[in-house]
Amino acid sequence: MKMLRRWWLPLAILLAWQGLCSLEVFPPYKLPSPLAILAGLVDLEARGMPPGQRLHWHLFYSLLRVAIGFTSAALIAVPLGLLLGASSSLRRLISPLIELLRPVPPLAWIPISILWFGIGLPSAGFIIFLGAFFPIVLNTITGVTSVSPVLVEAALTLGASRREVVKKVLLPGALPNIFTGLRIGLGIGWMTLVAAEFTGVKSGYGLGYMIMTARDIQRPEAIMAGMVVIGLTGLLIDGLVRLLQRRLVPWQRSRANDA
Amino acid sequence: MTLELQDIYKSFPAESGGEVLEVLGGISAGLERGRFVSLIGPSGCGKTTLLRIIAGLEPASRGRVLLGGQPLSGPSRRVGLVFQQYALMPWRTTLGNIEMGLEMAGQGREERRAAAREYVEAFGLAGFENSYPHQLSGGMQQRVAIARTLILQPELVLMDEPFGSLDSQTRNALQEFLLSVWRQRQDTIVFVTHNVDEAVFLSDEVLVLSRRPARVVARFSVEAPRPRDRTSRASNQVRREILSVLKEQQEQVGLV
Ligand SMILES: Nc1ncnc2c1ncn2[C@@H]1O[C@H](COP(=O)(O)OP(=O)(O)O)[C@@H](O)[C@H]1O
Ligand SMILES: [Mg+2]
Repeated sequence: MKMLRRWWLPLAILLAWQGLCSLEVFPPYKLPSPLAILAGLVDLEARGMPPGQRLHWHLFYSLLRVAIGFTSAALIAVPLGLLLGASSSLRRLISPLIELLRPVPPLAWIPISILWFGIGLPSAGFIIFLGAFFPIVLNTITGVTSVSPVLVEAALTLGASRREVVKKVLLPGALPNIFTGLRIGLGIGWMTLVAAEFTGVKSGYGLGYMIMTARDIQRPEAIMAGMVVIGLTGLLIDGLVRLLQRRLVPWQRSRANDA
Repeated sequence: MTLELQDIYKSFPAESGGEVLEVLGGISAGLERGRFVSLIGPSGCGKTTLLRIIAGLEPASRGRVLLGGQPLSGPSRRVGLVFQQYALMPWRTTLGNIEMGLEMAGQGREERRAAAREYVEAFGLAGFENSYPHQLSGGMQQRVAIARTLILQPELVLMDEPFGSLDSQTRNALQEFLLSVWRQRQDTIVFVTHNVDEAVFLSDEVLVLSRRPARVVARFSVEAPRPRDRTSRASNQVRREILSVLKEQQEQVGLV
Protein backbone atom coordinates (compact mmCIF):
# COMPACT_ATOMS: atom_id res chain seq x y z
CA MET A 1 0.00 0.00 0.00
CA LYS A 2 2.80 2.36 0.98
CA MET A 3 4.73 1.23 -2.09
CA LEU A 4 1.75 2.07 -4.24
CA ARG A 5 1.47 5.57 -2.80
CA ARG A 6 5.09 6.25 -3.51
CA TRP A 7 5.31 4.72 -6.98
CA TRP A 8 1.88 5.43 -8.44
CA LEU A 9 3.05 8.21 -10.73
CA PRO A 10 5.82 6.24 -12.51
CA LEU A 11 3.41 3.30 -12.73
CA ALA A 12 0.72 5.46 -14.28
CA ILE A 13 3.19 6.84 -16.80
CA LEU A 14 4.31 3.31 -17.72
CA LEU A 15 0.69 2.26 -18.22
CA ALA A 16 -0.09 5.31 -20.36
CA TRP A 17 3.09 4.76 -22.35
CA GLN A 18 2.16 1.13 -22.97
CA GLY A 19 -1.36 2.19 -23.96
CA LEU A 20 -0.17 4.83 -26.41
CA CYS A 21 2.28 2.37 -27.97
CA SER A 22 -0.42 -0.30 -28.33
CA LEU A 23 -2.57 2.28 -30.16
CA GLU A 24 0.48 2.91 -32.37
CA VAL A 25 0.59 6.60 -31.57
CA PHE A 26 4.41 6.36 -31.60
CA PRO A 27 6.19 4.36 -34.29
CA PRO A 28 7.87 1.38 -32.55
CA TYR A 29 11.20 1.98 -34.30
CA LYS A 30 11.38 5.34 -32.44
CA LEU A 31 9.77 4.59 -29.09
CA PRO A 32 9.33 0.95 -28.14
CA SER A 33 6.67 0.07 -25.59
CA PRO A 34 7.59 -0.89 -22.01
CA LEU A 35 6.71 -4.50 -22.74
CA ALA A 36 8.93 -4.46 -25.82
CA ILE A 37 11.76 -3.05 -23.70
CA LEU A 38 11.22 -5.82 -21.18
CA ALA A 39 11.42 -8.35 -23.99
CA GLY A 40 14.57 -6.57 -25.20
CA LEU A 41 16.04 -6.93 -21.74
CA VAL A 42 15.35 -10.65 -21.68
CA ASP A 43 16.84 -10.93 -25.15
CA LEU A 44 20.00 -9.02 -24.12
CA GLU A 45 20.67 -11.66 -21.53
CA ALA A 46 19.43 -14.68 -23.48
CA ARG A 47 21.07 -14.01 -26.84
CA GLY A 48 23.47 -11.16 -26.17
CA MET A 49 24.36 -7.95 -28.00
CA PRO A 50 26.16 -8.51 -30.30
CA PRO A 51 24.91 -12.12 -30.24
CA GLY A 52 26.96 -14.24 -27.90
CA GLN A 53 28.04 -11.30 -25.66
CA ARG A 54 25.48 -11.47 -22.91
CA LEU A 55 24.20 -8.72 -20.69
CA HIS A 56 25.71 -9.89 -17.40
CA TRP A 57 29.20 -9.79 -18.87
CA HIS A 58 28.66 -6.25 -20.15
CA LEU A 59 27.46 -5.31 -16.68
CA PHE A 60 30.39 -7.09 -15.07
CA TYR A 61 32.99 -5.24 -17.14
CA SER A 62 31.32 -1.89 -16.58
CA LEU A 63 31.24 -2.49 -12.84
CA LEU A 64 34.85 -3.60 -12.91
CA ARG A 65 35.95 -0.39 -14.64
CA VAL A 66 33.99 1.71 -12.17
CA ALA A 67 35.32 -0.29 -9.24
CA ILE A 68 38.91 0.21 -10.35
CA GLY A 69 38.57 3.90 -11.18
CA PHE A 70 36.47 4.72 -8.14
CA THR A 71 38.53 2.74 -5.65
CA SER A 72 41.78 4.29 -6.77
CA ALA A 73 40.16 7.75 -6.66
CA ALA A 74 38.87 7.16 -3.12
CA LEU A 75 42.20 5.73 -1.93
CA ILE A 76 44.02 8.86 -3.06
CA ALA A 77 41.33 11.51 -2.56
CA VAL A 78 40.34 10.75 1.03
CA PRO A 79 43.87 10.85 2.53
CA LEU A 80 44.73 13.86 0.36
CA GLY A 81 41.54 15.61 1.51
CA LEU A 82 42.37 14.88 5.15
CA LEU A 83 45.86 16.27 4.69
CA LEU A 84 44.65 19.40 2.88
CA GLY A 85 41.85 19.88 5.39
CA ALA A 86 44.26 19.63 8.32
CA SER A 87 46.94 21.93 6.95
CA SER A 88 45.87 25.35 5.77
CA SER A 89 49.29 26.12 4.28
CA LEU A 90 49.22 22.96 2.18
CA ARG A 91 45.66 23.82 1.21
CA ARG A 92 46.73 27.24 -0.02
CA LEU A 93 49.44 25.58 -2.09
CA ILE A 94 47.36 22.82 -3.70
CA SER A 95 43.89 24.38 -3.92
CA PRO A 96 44.56 26.54 -7.01
CA LEU A 97 45.71 23.42 -8.84
CA ILE A 98 42.52 21.59 -7.92
CA GLU A 99 40.37 24.57 -8.83
CA LEU A 100 42.06 24.73 -12.21
CA LEU A 101 41.61 21.05 -13.06
CA ARG A 102 38.15 20.55 -11.57
CA PRO A 103 36.09 22.44 -14.18
CA VAL A 104 37.46 20.25 -17.00
CA PRO A 105 34.66 17.70 -17.55
CA PRO A 106 35.93 14.13 -17.19
CA LEU A 107 34.71 13.38 -20.72
CA ALA A 108 37.00 16.08 -22.09
CA TRP A 109 39.86 13.91 -20.90
CA ILE A 110 38.85 11.02 -23.12
CA PRO A 111 40.97 11.92 -26.16
CA ILE A 112 44.11 12.56 -24.19
CA SER A 113 43.60 9.50 -22.01
CA ILE A 114 43.20 7.32 -25.11
CA LEU A 115 46.45 8.82 -26.34
CA TRP A 116 48.14 8.04 -23.03
CA PHE A 117 46.64 4.69 -22.14
CA GLY A 118 45.23 3.39 -25.41
CA ILE A 119 41.69 2.10 -25.73
CA GLY A 120 40.57 -0.23 -22.99
CA LEU A 121 40.43 -0.69 -19.27
CA PRO A 122 43.23 1.72 -18.23
CA SER A 123 41.84 4.72 -20.11
CA ALA A 124 38.25 4.06 -19.00
CA GLY A 125 39.52 3.60 -15.45
CA PHE A 126 41.40 6.89 -15.69
CA ILE A 127 38.30 8.80 -16.84
CA ILE A 128 36.26 7.38 -13.98
CA PHE A 129 39.09 8.16 -11.60
CA LEU A 130 38.97 11.80 -12.69
CA GLY A 131 35.19 11.98 -12.39
CA ALA A 132 35.18 10.58 -8.87
CA PHE A 133 38.36 12.17 -7.58
CA PHE A 134 37.35 15.84 -7.31
CA PRO A 135 34.04 15.48 -5.48
CA ILE A 136 35.68 13.14 -2.98
CA VAL A 137 38.67 15.40 -2.33
CA LEU A 138 36.60 18.57 -2.06
CA ASN A 139 33.98 17.06 0.24
CA THR A 140 36.66 15.57 2.46
CA ILE A 141 38.32 18.98 2.79
CA THR A 142 34.97 20.56 3.63
CA GLY A 143 34.35 17.84 6.19
CA VAL A 144 37.69 18.35 7.92
CA THR A 145 37.47 22.13 8.00
CA SER A 146 33.96 21.96 9.42
CA VAL A 147 35.10 19.94 12.44
CA SER A 148 34.87 22.25 15.44
CA PRO A 149 38.34 23.36 16.61
CA VAL A 150 37.14 22.83 20.18
CA LEU A 151 37.00 19.08 19.51
CA VAL A 152 40.61 19.16 18.34
CA GLU A 153 41.60 21.06 21.46
CA ALA A 154 39.68 18.65 23.67
CA ALA A 155 41.58 15.76 22.10
CA LEU A 156 44.89 17.58 22.60
CA THR A 157 44.19 18.09 26.30
CA LEU A 158 43.38 14.36 26.52
CA GLY A 159 46.89 13.66 25.27
CA ALA A 160 46.32 13.16 21.53
CA SER A 161 49.29 13.42 19.18
CA ARG A 162 48.88 15.15 15.82
CA ARG A 163 48.43 11.79 14.17
CA GLU A 164 45.75 10.83 16.66
CA VAL A 165 43.99 14.13 16.08
CA VAL A 166 43.76 13.31 12.38
CA LYS A 167 42.70 9.72 13.00
CA LYS A 168 40.37 10.16 15.95
CA VAL A 169 38.92 13.63 15.45
CA LEU A 170 39.27 14.91 11.89
CA LEU A 171 38.53 11.63 10.14
CA PRO A 172 35.39 10.69 12.09
CA GLY A 173 34.30 14.33 12.11
CA ALA A 174 34.62 14.50 8.34
CA LEU A 175 33.03 11.11 7.73
CA PRO A 176 29.52 12.39 6.90
CA ASN A 177 31.00 14.71 4.25
CA ILE A 178 33.36 12.02 3.02
CA PHE A 179 30.35 9.81 2.38
CA THR A 180 28.62 12.60 0.52
CA GLY A 181 31.74 12.89 -1.62
CA LEU A 182 31.90 9.15 -2.19
CA ARG A 183 28.28 9.03 -3.27
CA ILE A 184 28.65 11.96 -5.65
CA GLY A 185 31.94 10.54 -6.92
CA LEU A 186 30.44 7.13 -7.53
CA GLY A 187 27.45 8.69 -9.31
CA ILE A 188 29.67 10.75 -11.58
CA GLY A 189 31.96 7.76 -12.08
CA TRP A 190 29.03 5.64 -13.21
CA MET A 191 27.72 8.28 -15.60
CA THR A 192 31.20 8.93 -16.94
CA LEU A 193 31.77 5.24 -17.50
CA VAL A 194 28.94 4.75 -19.92
CA ALA A 195 29.99 7.76 -21.94
CA ALA A 196 33.60 6.59 -21.87
CA GLU A 197 32.48 3.21 -23.19
CA PHE A 198 30.59 4.85 -26.07
CA THR A 199 33.87 5.99 -27.48
CA GLY A 200 36.59 4.22 -25.56
CA VAL A 201 35.66 0.57 -26.09
CA LYS A 202 35.76 -0.65 -29.64
CA SER A 203 35.11 -4.30 -28.96
CA GLY A 204 34.54 -6.62 -26.05
CA TYR A 205 32.28 -5.77 -23.15
CA GLY A 206 30.66 -2.81 -21.42
CA LEU A 207 27.15 -1.38 -21.11
CA GLY A 208 28.06 1.70 -23.15
CA TYR A 209 29.55 -0.46 -25.87
CA MET A 210 26.47 -2.69 -25.78
CA ILE A 211 24.15 0.28 -26.31
CA MET A 212 26.24 1.62 -29.16
CA THR A 213 26.13 -1.79 -30.82
CA ALA A 214 22.34 -1.85 -30.46
CA ARG A 215 22.15 1.56 -32.10
CA ASP A 216 24.37 0.44 -34.98
CA ILE A 217 21.95 -2.38 -35.78
CA GLN A 218 18.82 -0.26 -35.12
CA ARG A 219 17.43 -2.00 -32.07
CA PRO A 220 15.69 0.72 -30.02
CA GLU A 221 14.21 -1.72 -27.49
CA ALA A 222 17.72 -3.03 -26.76
CA ILE A 223 19.04 0.52 -26.40
CA MET A 224 16.36 1.39 -23.90
CA ALA A 225 16.74 -1.90 -22.06
CA GLY A 226 20.42 -1.02 -21.70
CA MET A 227 19.45 2.39 -20.32
CA VAL A 228 17.15 0.71 -17.80
CA VAL A 229 20.00 -1.54 -16.65
CA ILE A 230 22.30 1.46 -16.27
CA GLY A 231 19.73 3.40 -14.27
CA LEU A 232 18.80 0.53 -11.98
CA THR A 233 22.44 -0.37 -11.37
CA GLY A 234 23.25 3.22 -10.48
CA LEU A 235 20.33 3.26 -8.06
CA LEU A 236 21.49 -0.02 -6.52
CA ILE A 237 25.07 1.17 -6.07
CA ASP A 238 23.92 4.35 -4.39
CA GLY A 239 21.67 2.32 -2.11
CA LEU A 240 24.61 0.14 -1.11
CA VAL A 241 26.77 3.15 -0.27
CA ARG A 242 23.91 4.60 1.75
CA LEU A 243 23.65 1.34 3.65
CA LEU A 244 27.38 1.44 4.35
CA GLN A 245 27.07 5.06 5.44
CA ARG A 246 24.35 4.18 7.92
CA ARG A 247 26.56 1.49 9.43
CA LEU A 248 29.69 3.63 9.59
CA VAL A 249 28.07 6.91 10.65
CA PRO A 250 25.59 5.67 13.24
CA TRP A 251 25.63 8.91 15.24
CA GLN A 252 24.18 10.69 12.25
CA ARG A 253 21.45 8.16 11.68
CA SER A 254 20.20 8.37 15.25
CA ARG A 255 20.12 12.13 14.95
CA ALA A 256 17.91 11.77 11.88
CA ASN A 257 15.73 9.31 13.78
CA ASP A 258 15.31 11.72 16.65
CA ALA A 259 14.20 14.47 14.36
CA MET B 1 52.72 25.03 45.34
CA THR B 2 51.26 22.81 42.66
CA LEU B 3 50.49 25.52 40.16
CA GLU B 4 52.42 28.74 39.80
CA LEU B 5 51.48 31.47 37.37
CA GLN B 6 54.43 33.81 36.97
CA ASP B 7 53.66 37.22 35.55
CA ILE B 8 51.62 36.07 32.57
CA TYR B 9 50.94 38.52 29.77
CA LYS B 10 48.97 37.90 26.66
CA SER B 11 48.10 40.13 23.77
CA PHE B 12 46.51 39.24 20.46
CA PRO B 13 47.89 40.75 17.27
CA ALA B 14 45.91 43.59 15.75
CA GLU B 15 43.24 42.65 13.28
CA SER B 16 43.82 44.63 10.08
CA GLY B 17 44.74 48.09 11.29
CA GLY B 18 43.20 47.87 14.77
CA GLU B 19 45.18 48.07 17.98
CA VAL B 20 46.91 45.13 19.61
CA LEU B 21 44.49 43.61 22.08
CA GLU B 22 46.07 43.31 25.51
CA VAL B 23 44.13 40.63 27.32
CA LEU B 24 46.25 39.54 30.27
CA GLY B 25 48.34 42.19 31.99
CA GLY B 26 50.61 40.28 34.35
CA ILE B 27 48.82 37.49 36.18
CA SER B 28 50.66 35.99 39.11
CA ALA B 29 49.20 33.46 41.48
CA GLY B 30 50.11 30.30 43.32
CA LEU B 31 47.83 27.39 43.98
CA GLU B 32 48.23 24.59 46.48
CA ARG B 33 47.52 20.95 45.81
CA GLY B 34 43.98 19.81 46.52
CA ARG B 35 42.50 23.29 46.55
CA PHE B 36 39.36 24.37 44.80
CA VAL B 37 39.97 27.84 43.42
CA SER B 38 37.57 29.95 41.41
CA LEU B 39 38.47 32.69 38.95
CA ILE B 40 35.88 35.36 38.59
CA GLY B 41 35.91 38.49 36.49
CA PRO B 42 33.97 40.58 34.02
CA SER B 43 33.09 38.82 30.79
CA GLY B 44 35.68 39.29 28.07
CA CYS B 45 38.44 39.96 30.59
CA GLY B 46 40.53 36.97 29.56
CA LYS B 47 39.48 34.08 31.82
CA THR B 48 39.21 31.61 28.97
CA THR B 49 42.48 32.88 27.53
CA LEU B 50 44.21 32.27 30.86
CA LEU B 51 42.88 28.71 31.10
CA ARG B 52 43.93 28.03 27.51
CA ILE B 53 47.43 29.22 28.33
CA ILE B 54 47.61 27.00 31.40
CA ALA B 55 46.27 24.08 29.35
CA GLY B 56 48.98 24.69 26.77
CA LEU B 57 46.55 25.42 23.95
CA GLU B 58 47.80 28.99 23.57
CA PRO B 59 51.28 30.40 24.21
CA ALA B 60 51.65 33.24 26.69
CA SER B 61 53.22 36.43 25.32
CA ARG B 62 55.32 36.58 28.46
CA GLY B 63 55.59 34.74 31.75
CA ARG B 64 55.60 31.12 32.79
CA VAL B 65 53.29 28.43 34.04
CA LEU B 66 54.85 25.96 36.47
CA LEU B 67 53.19 22.72 37.48
CA GLY B 68 54.89 20.93 40.33
CA GLY B 69 57.90 23.18 39.75
CA GLN B 70 58.29 22.28 36.07
CA PRO B 71 57.41 24.72 33.30
CA LEU B 72 54.52 23.61 31.11
CA SER B 73 54.68 23.89 27.38
CA GLY B 74 51.95 22.51 25.18
CA PRO B 75 48.95 20.39 26.09
CA SER B 76 49.64 17.54 28.45
CA ARG B 77 47.73 14.85 30.25
CA ARG B 78 48.89 16.40 33.52
CA VAL B 79 46.41 19.23 32.97
CA GLY B 80 42.76 18.51 32.23
CA LEU B 81 40.35 21.01 30.74
CA VAL B 82 36.57 20.93 30.92
CA PHE B 83 34.93 23.14 28.29
CA GLN B 84 31.76 25.14 28.66
CA GLN B 85 30.26 23.59 25.53
CA TYR B 86 31.21 20.05 26.67
CA ALA B 87 33.26 19.37 23.50
CA LEU B 88 32.30 15.70 23.41
CA MET B 89 33.03 13.72 20.26
CA PRO B 90 29.60 13.39 18.60
CA TRP B 91 30.59 10.06 17.05
CA ARG B 92 31.52 8.48 20.35
CA THR B 93 29.13 7.02 22.87
CA THR B 94 29.27 7.88 26.56
CA LEU B 95 31.74 5.05 27.16
CA GLY B 96 33.74 5.93 24.07
CA ASN B 97 34.07 9.55 25.13
CA ILE B 98 35.03 8.71 28.70
CA GLU B 99 37.73 6.26 27.64
CA MET B 100 39.19 8.47 24.91
CA GLY B 101 42.14 9.75 26.96
CA LEU B 102 43.02 6.25 28.15
CA GLU B 103 42.97 5.16 24.53
CA MET B 104 45.49 7.87 23.62
CA ALA B 105 47.62 6.75 26.55
CA GLY B 106 47.79 3.31 24.97
CA GLN B 107 45.78 1.45 27.57
CA GLY B 108 44.27 -1.87 26.47
CA ARG B 109 40.66 -2.08 25.40
CA GLU B 110 39.36 -4.27 28.24
CA GLU B 111 41.14 -2.28 30.88
CA ARG B 112 39.94 1.12 29.74
CA ARG B 113 36.39 -0.14 29.22
CA ALA B 114 36.35 -1.36 32.80
CA ALA B 115 37.70 1.95 34.07
CA ALA B 116 35.16 3.90 32.00
CA ARG B 117 32.33 1.76 33.37
CA GLU B 118 33.29 2.67 36.90
CA TYR B 119 32.99 6.34 36.00
CA VAL B 120 29.68 5.73 34.28
CA GLU B 121 28.38 4.28 37.55
CA ALA B 122 29.86 6.94 39.79
CA PHE B 123 28.67 9.77 37.57
CA GLY B 124 25.07 8.59 37.39
CA LEU B 125 25.27 7.73 33.71
CA ALA B 126 24.25 4.08 34.00
CA GLY B 127 21.84 3.15 31.24
CA PHE B 128 23.35 5.74 28.90
CA GLU B 129 26.67 3.98 28.24
CA ASN B 130 25.90 3.55 24.59
CA SER B 131 24.11 6.82 23.96
CA TYR B 132 25.59 9.44 21.70
CA PRO B 133 26.07 12.95 23.14
CA HIS B 134 23.12 14.46 21.29
CA GLN B 135 20.87 11.93 23.00
CA LEU B 136 21.92 13.21 26.44
CA SER B 137 20.74 16.26 28.37
CA GLY B 138 23.18 19.14 28.88
CA GLY B 139 23.79 18.12 32.48
CA MET B 140 24.60 14.56 31.45
CA GLN B 141 26.87 15.71 28.65
CA GLN B 142 28.84 17.81 31.09
CA ARG B 143 29.11 14.87 33.48
CA VAL B 144 30.53 12.79 30.62
CA ALA B 145 33.00 15.58 29.88
CA ILE B 146 34.08 15.80 33.52
CA ALA B 147 34.42 12.02 33.74
CA ARG B 148 36.51 12.00 30.57
CA THR B 149 38.89 14.49 32.18
CA LEU B 150 39.02 13.06 35.71
CA ILE B 151 39.60 9.46 34.58
CA LEU B 152 43.10 10.55 33.53
CA GLN B 153 43.88 11.65 37.11
CA PRO B 154 45.36 14.99 36.02
CA GLU B 155 47.43 16.94 38.54
CA LEU B 156 45.41 20.02 37.70
CA VAL B 157 41.82 20.30 36.52
CA LEU B 158 40.72 23.43 34.69
CA MET B 159 37.04 24.16 34.25
CA ASP B 160 35.80 26.96 32.01
CA GLU B 161 32.29 27.96 33.08
CA PRO B 162 31.31 24.30 32.93
CA PHE B 163 27.79 24.91 34.19
CA GLY B 164 27.30 28.20 32.37
CA SER B 165 24.80 26.93 29.83
CA LEU B 166 22.70 24.83 32.20
CA ASP B 167 19.41 25.83 33.79
CA SER B 168 19.70 26.83 37.43
CA GLN B 169 18.33 23.60 38.91
CA THR B 170 20.65 21.39 36.90
CA ARG B 171 23.40 23.81 37.70
CA ASN B 172 22.85 23.51 41.46
CA ALA B 173 22.67 19.74 41.22
CA LEU B 174 25.93 19.60 39.27
CA GLN B 175 27.65 21.90 41.76
CA GLU B 176 26.71 19.52 44.57
CA PHE B 177 27.80 16.58 42.45
CA LEU B 178 31.16 18.16 41.63
CA LEU B 179 31.78 18.84 45.30
CA SER B 180 30.98 15.27 46.27
CA VAL B 181 33.42 13.98 43.64
CA TRP B 182 36.05 16.46 44.70
CA ARG B 183 35.64 15.59 48.40
CA GLN B 184 36.62 12.01 47.63
CA ARG B 185 39.41 12.75 45.17
CA GLN B 186 40.87 16.04 46.34
CA ASP B 187 41.71 17.21 42.82
CA THR B 188 43.34 20.59 42.36
CA ILE B 189 40.71 22.62 40.53
CA VAL B 190 40.74 26.01 38.84
CA PHE B 191 37.13 26.87 38.14
CA VAL B 192 36.17 29.83 35.96
CA THR B 193 32.78 31.38 36.46
CA HIS B 194 31.18 34.77 36.31
CA ASN B 195 28.65 33.75 38.90
CA VAL B 196 29.60 34.94 42.40
CA ASP B 197 27.17 32.57 44.14
CA GLU B 198 28.69 29.62 42.34
CA ALA B 199 32.25 30.68 43.17
CA VAL B 200 31.44 31.14 46.85
CA PHE B 201 29.52 27.88 47.13
CA LEU B 202 32.26 25.78 45.55
CA SER B 203 35.63 27.26 46.36
CA ASP B 204 38.28 27.39 49.01
CA GLU B 205 39.52 30.56 47.40
CA VAL B 206 38.21 33.08 44.91
CA LEU B 207 40.51 35.16 42.70
CA VAL B 208 38.93 38.28 41.23
CA LEU B 209 40.29 39.49 37.91
CA SER B 210 40.17 43.06 36.66
CA ARG B 211 38.90 44.15 33.29
CA ARG B 212 41.23 43.89 30.29
CA PRO B 213 44.18 43.75 30.53
CA ALA B 214 43.38 41.40 33.39
CA ARG B 215 45.30 41.22 36.64
CA VAL B 216 44.40 39.61 39.95
CA VAL B 217 42.84 42.44 41.95
CA ALA B 218 41.71 40.51 44.99
CA ARG B 219 41.96 37.09 46.56
CA PHE B 220 39.40 35.80 49.03
CA SER B 221 39.41 32.73 51.24
CA VAL B 222 36.00 31.23 51.74
CA GLU B 223 36.04 29.92 55.28
CA ALA B 224 32.47 28.70 55.45
CA PRO B 225 32.50 25.06 56.64
CA ARG B 226 31.55 22.27 54.23
CA PRO B 227 29.01 20.99 53.43
CA ARG B 228 27.91 24.53 52.81
CA ASP B 229 24.66 26.29 53.17
CA ARG B 230 24.26 28.66 50.24
CA THR B 231 22.66 31.27 52.48
CA SER B 232 24.87 31.04 55.58
CA ARG B 233 26.23 34.24 57.08
CA ALA B 234 29.82 33.34 56.27
CA SER B 235 28.87 32.82 52.63
CA ASN B 236 26.91 36.04 52.48
CA GLN B 237 29.82 37.95 53.96
CA VAL B 238 32.33 36.79 51.29
CA ARG B 239 29.76 37.25 48.59
CA ARG B 240 29.27 40.87 49.63
CA GLU B 241 33.01 41.52 49.59
CA ILE B 242 33.49 39.98 46.18
CA LEU B 243 30.56 41.88 44.75
CA SER B 244 31.95 45.15 46.02
CA VAL B 245 35.32 44.49 44.33
CA LEU B 246 33.54 43.64 41.10
CA LYS B 247 31.47 46.80 41.40
CA GLU B 248 34.60 48.89 41.83
CA GLN B 249 35.87 47.43 38.59
CA GLN B 250 32.67 48.46 36.86
CA GLU B 251 32.78 51.97 38.26
CA GLN B 252 36.38 52.55 37.25
CA VAL B 253 35.31 51.84 33.71
CA GLY B 254 32.44 54.25 34.09
CA LEU B 255 34.90 57.04 34.88
CA VAL B 256 37.14 56.42 31.89
N1 LIG C 1 42.46 33.97 19.38
C1 LIG C 1 42.09 35.24 19.64
N2 LIG C 1 42.40 36.25 18.78
C2 LIG C 1 42.03 37.51 19.04
N3 LIG C 1 41.34 37.90 20.13
C3 LIG C 1 41.00 36.96 21.03
C4 LIG C 1 41.34 35.58 20.83
N4 LIG C 1 40.86 34.87 21.87
C5 LIG C 1 40.25 35.75 22.68
N5 LIG C 1 40.33 37.01 22.19
C6 LIG C 1 39.82 38.22 22.83
O1 LIG C 1 40.35 38.28 24.12
C7 LIG C 1 39.40 38.80 25.03
C8 LIG C 1 39.24 37.87 26.18
O2 LIG C 1 38.59 36.71 25.77
P1 LIG C 1 38.24 35.52 26.76
O3 LIG C 1 39.50 35.01 27.35
O4 LIG C 1 37.42 34.54 26.00
O5 LIG C 1 37.37 36.24 27.87
P2 LIG C 1 36.45 35.62 29.02
O6 LIG C 1 36.61 34.14 28.98
O7 LIG C 1 36.95 36.22 30.27
O8 LIG C 1 35.05 36.04 28.74
C9 LIG C 1 38.12 39.01 24.24
O9 LIG C 1 38.02 40.38 23.92
C10 LIG C 1 38.31 38.18 23.02
O10 LIG C 1 37.65 38.76 21.93
MG1 LIG D 1 35.21 32.61 28.64
